[in-house]
Amino acid sequence: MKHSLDLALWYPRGCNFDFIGYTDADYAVFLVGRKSTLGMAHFLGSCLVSWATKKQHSVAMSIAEPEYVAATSCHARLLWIWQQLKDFSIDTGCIPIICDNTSAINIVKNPCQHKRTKHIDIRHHFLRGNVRKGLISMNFCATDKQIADIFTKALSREQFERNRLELGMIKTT
Amino acid sequence: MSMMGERNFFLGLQIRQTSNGTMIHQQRYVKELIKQLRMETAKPIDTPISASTRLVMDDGSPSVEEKSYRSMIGSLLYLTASRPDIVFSVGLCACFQSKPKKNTFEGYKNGF
Repeated sequence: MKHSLDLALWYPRGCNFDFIGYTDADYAVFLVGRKSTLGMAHFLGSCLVSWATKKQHSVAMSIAEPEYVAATSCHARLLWIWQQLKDFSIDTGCIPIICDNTSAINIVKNPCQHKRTKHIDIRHHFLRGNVRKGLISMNFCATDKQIADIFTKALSREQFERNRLELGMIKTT
Repeated sequence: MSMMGERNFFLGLQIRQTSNGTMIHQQRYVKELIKQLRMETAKPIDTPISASTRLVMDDGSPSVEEKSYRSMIGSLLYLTASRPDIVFSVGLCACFQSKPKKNTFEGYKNGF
């Protein structure tokens, strides 16, 4: 930490209010209990306004499950910020959630009861309703473009530094 | 209410406002923390946690004092307010609070 003392969060002036959520999950990274980790980051324009990392409650059977649960948590927080923005009369339109797992996105889009998803509890499915209403959209991005990666796993130095820059952390000097 | 001028220090967060934007950091806090933990001479590393690190509950190494481990985690959790890059490693180490082992602790100290 000593050599990164001069890092600071940077909030540029006059950036837009494009609201966007990044969500990522890492499958069974935690060796004790084999639970997955979820990570999320929310941006207003290029400003990082909210971030979180959390060990999930349940053990997942495939990578799509923690990604889906992570997207739901991300969406819950998005709604909270969205409500606050609405109080300030800021209309964000349809809010994109960026996820790097196509299976998770497809679970959201396709409401059929599949034998591989029927154990996912109802509380995680409220994301679907809001996607159908057009409040939220689920978008795909490649893993190396995923900003929330830094919250779910240990990264190599290059990845770490790139990701840190994308979060809006710059040197003060 | 009185106008005290531009805010530049708030709850340990240092704020710098320029014409281009705002900068938030906790340099002063980190410096104090390093001094408090007597880690001024520790070797700096590039990332807070190595990609090959695998932490387990009991790896057979001797235990460390729980209280100081918990206090370190608490101090670092406060730091996450301006440092989203260490959130994951702090969170991971916080999972081992009940019986911290020496290896976890060492790995953790490396984070500085």
